[in-house]
Amino acid sequence: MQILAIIIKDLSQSLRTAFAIAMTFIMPMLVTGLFYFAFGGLNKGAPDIQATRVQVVNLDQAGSEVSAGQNLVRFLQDPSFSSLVQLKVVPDEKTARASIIDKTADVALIIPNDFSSSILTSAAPTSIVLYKDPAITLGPSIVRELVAQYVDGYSGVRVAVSTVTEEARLHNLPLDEATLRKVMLDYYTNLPSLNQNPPVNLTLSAPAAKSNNGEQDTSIVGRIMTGMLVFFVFFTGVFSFETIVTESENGTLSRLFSTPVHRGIIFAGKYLAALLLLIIQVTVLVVASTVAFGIKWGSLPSILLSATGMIIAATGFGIMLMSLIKNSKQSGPVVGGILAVTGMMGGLFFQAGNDDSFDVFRFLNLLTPQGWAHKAWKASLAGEQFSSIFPITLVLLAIGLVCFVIGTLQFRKRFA
Amino acid sequence: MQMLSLFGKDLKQVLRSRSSAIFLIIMPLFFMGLFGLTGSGSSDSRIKMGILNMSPDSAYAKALTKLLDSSEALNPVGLTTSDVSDMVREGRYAAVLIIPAEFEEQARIGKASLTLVFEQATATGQAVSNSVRAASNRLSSALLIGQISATTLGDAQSEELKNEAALSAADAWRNPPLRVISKNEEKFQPKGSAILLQMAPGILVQFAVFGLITTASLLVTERKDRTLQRLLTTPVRRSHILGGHILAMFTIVMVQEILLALVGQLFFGVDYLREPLALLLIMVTLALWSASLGLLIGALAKALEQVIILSMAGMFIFCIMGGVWFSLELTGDVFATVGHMLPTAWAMDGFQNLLVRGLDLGSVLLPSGMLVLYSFLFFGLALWCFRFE
Repeated sequence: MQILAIIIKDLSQSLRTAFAIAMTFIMPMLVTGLFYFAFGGLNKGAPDIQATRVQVVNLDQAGSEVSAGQNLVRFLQDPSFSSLVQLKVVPDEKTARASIIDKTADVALIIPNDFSSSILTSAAPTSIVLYKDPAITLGPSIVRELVAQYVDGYSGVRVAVSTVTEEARLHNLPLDEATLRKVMLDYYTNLPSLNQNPPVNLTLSAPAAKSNNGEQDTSIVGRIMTGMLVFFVFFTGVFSFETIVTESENGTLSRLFSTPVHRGIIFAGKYLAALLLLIIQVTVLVVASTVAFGIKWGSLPSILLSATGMIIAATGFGIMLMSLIKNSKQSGPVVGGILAVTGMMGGLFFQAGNDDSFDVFRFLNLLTPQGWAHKAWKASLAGEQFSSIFPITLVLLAIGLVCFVIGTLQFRKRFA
Repeated sequence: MQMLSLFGKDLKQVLRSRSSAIFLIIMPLFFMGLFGLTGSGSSDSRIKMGILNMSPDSAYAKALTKLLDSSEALNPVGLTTSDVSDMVREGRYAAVLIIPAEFEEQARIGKASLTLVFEQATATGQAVSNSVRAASNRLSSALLIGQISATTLGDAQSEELKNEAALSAADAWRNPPLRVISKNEEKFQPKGSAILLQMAPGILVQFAVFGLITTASLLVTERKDRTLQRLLTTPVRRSHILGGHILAMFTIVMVQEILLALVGQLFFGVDYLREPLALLLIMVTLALWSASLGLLIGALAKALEQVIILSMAGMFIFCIMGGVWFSLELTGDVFATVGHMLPTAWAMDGFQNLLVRGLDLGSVLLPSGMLVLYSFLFFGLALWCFRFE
């Protein structure tokens, strides 16, 4: 009964303050909501990105046969690319490049004067030059891919002609101009079917789901929410034990110790109140983010396992940190600082890149309890089975236990 | 004089507090160090992708690997393990291309298949898939050319001739006759790692806002212990009280910015000092806006907890929407338009003009001007709130 009273008092104290409500529920949803707003389109599989402003200069001096430069401009003006490219034709290179400097365009595309002739003759290689603003990366790469895809159609003709010529030479076979024209025509004729039904078919696939039903969450928002969930659960886990420090300062704890209530019951009550608060927080955040952002958190056993490990680790970490804090004045900055640093090290705020230099960061991730909790949730989102998440949960439980023992011993020493 | 006394008092109070050292110095330096160590390690700016080649003896698989190798965007690495999904999910490789064991036979009959495993929701994933598709299309073209060669040279049934020509065409595709070359506009001269050039000013702007937890709380503490009310009963003018506070906040943010810029310059090769005057201008105006925001938070918050909430909410909103944590070009139209109205977006513009674009003083005039305008706006709001004090 006494323990219940302590739990209710601590819990109601936590849930009554605007600060606790904001940090427990509102902040993680706010941050994820902002990312959802930013990347919502990508999340649904239909990229919602801004059209790249392109200024194109067509210097191509086409002969009578093919105006490849003009064809390229028409290709980029195709209405199906209007959401990707906003094209403006300008008369000279200077104007196009000046538009990048004055930020009226993101890309300047220069079609060289020998573009058409280099397709039809075996002249030296020529290049379309794409000038870009170095602060912009995605738009120019999209334009580059579009142009390269188109230009490869013409390059293929030259490659076909040069290959046939070389093979004829190697095998001492006769070859005349008419045959080469036929090679060009053959290649052109086959180009549409080559694009529609290529002999080398590339299948694009997301990393395989580990669940039996193949369900997983690969969205950016899911990843962000996982980080926010772990960060704010540890934040709440640590700050819910602040009452021990504040009650010690204002004398309430000493008064409680003078009553017949056993100290173990007082601390157990505080621990259970924190545990309950974290269970409420995780439940609310998981349900709310599922409804609001459509995040697929994984199977129920995986969610329960990840949540259990995280909550135990967060409460243990909370007791340990608070046992090292001397007074409530110190708790805000020290704990805030430690949580931000360990959260950062745990990889909650950004994902390591695929560069080798990020190996250190990946190693640092697993030196923090947040890193392990993050790992468990990421596995759950990927649809991992109970058996794969269980070892991670065991690590989290061990971290929680070790931290709990350290914290309890510290408090025992302090209140002896 | 009274204003300077108040300014001195605030500075002393901040310098004496341990929390100031944590929020204003240690945390930003730690973040800077972490990003610096992770972001500047590799000289290869190409995207690392894995190739799981289950057909190592196949001539066509080798031709495809060479085509991928010749890509400007990709850094392909051979893999032997089959746990590719985990590698991509953990970010060790941006994508993994699986070449099946029967690739050679499939390619010879013109029905080859490849699988690319990648995170479709990321910009890096999209870039890799585009480049891999370009390489696989070139191999498809080479197979067609092989077929045309055999037909043209009068031996359509000759498998040997067809394959020889196809492989020769694949080799020719590594150096195609028509190319697209991507260059930075010559006036723009970025120096240093791309990650750091985005992250270093990002950390500077983020902590100019986050650090307000310390400085804005001074005002709340004064209100809480009634010092502010007592001050208001003295002949000291309100404007001097606010002036003292804002001057202290401005100085603290400036010191923090200078420290971060020096660390970036000396240890991580971020060329902040290329245009010292332009850098000073953007830093001063950022500090001015940050101090005005601090004053507003101090005016709005009635308790220390509220300072933390408002500072954190401010940091999240201004940093995420203002393109501090990621470039606004990666977001949708509406988000980018709204985001670019925020002062943090202008601050990032100013820093990027200097660091990423390598421009001069003229390029920071507009961003700095906008920051000054925002400073007036926030300062005005803070003054208005203080009317009710």
